[in-house]
Amino acid sequence: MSGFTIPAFLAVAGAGAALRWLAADRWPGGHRGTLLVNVLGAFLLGLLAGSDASAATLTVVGTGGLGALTTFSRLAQDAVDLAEPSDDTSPGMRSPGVPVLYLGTTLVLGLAAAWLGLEITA
Amino acid sequence: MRTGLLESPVLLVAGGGAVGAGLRWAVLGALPDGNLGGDATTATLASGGDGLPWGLPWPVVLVNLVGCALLGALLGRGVDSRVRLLVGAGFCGGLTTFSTFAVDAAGLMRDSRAEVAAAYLALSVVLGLGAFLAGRRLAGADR
Repeated sequence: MSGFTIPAFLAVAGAGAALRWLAADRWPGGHRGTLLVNVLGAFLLGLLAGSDASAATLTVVGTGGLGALTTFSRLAQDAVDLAEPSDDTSPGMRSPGVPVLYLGTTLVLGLAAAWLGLEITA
Repeated sequence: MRTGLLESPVLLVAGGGAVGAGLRWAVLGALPDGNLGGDATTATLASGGDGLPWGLPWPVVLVNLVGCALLGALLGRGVDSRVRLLVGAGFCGGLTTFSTFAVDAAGLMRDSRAEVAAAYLALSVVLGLGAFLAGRRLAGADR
């Protein structure tokens, strides 16, 4: 690790977190945005983990950028929000299966994406 | 309307996210088999788990659990929007991770350790949701 690693880590992690927030706040928005960054981040980390990238690259891009791009806390929040229609201002119907569907979709697509990434570079 | 630097949502999230991710890096590096940048040079596990109870990557479970509990507490407490951005979307989002979790689980499945992968998935989801709900309830209990 060089002295460059820590500032690079902080900058790349900050950018990853900002991208994740934009995906949830702007486009595609809400839990769909979180699903998108989680699956995309899982795929890219799979690619990286399967490659012969240096330890510094794994730390800065993997642990920092892709770790911050993806989130588990917002996943939990979204699942709970989807289970509580009282917080919902939209007139649509909400089934109790929605949070389960959201969690299941995230887990299945995330694992498949990580697997695919590993397959490509490993 | 002109807003100051500390009002910029993107910068608040980026700053909190950098600190949260830095703490995750420190925790995963300090705990056994938790460091992605360690000797995980092959297409196996991003954060190990070998030698830990049940072969699970507990350090990742730990940071995800803590981040979920803290986010729940913030939302239960009803903090203002800047704190939500800095600490909620930023710090908690940066502290927790889905990518390492997914690559670890996929690596376990590729190693034909599907039962460990399934336990890791179930444990992470149950503990994460439970921590979020517990944090929210505890923080909101005095309102």
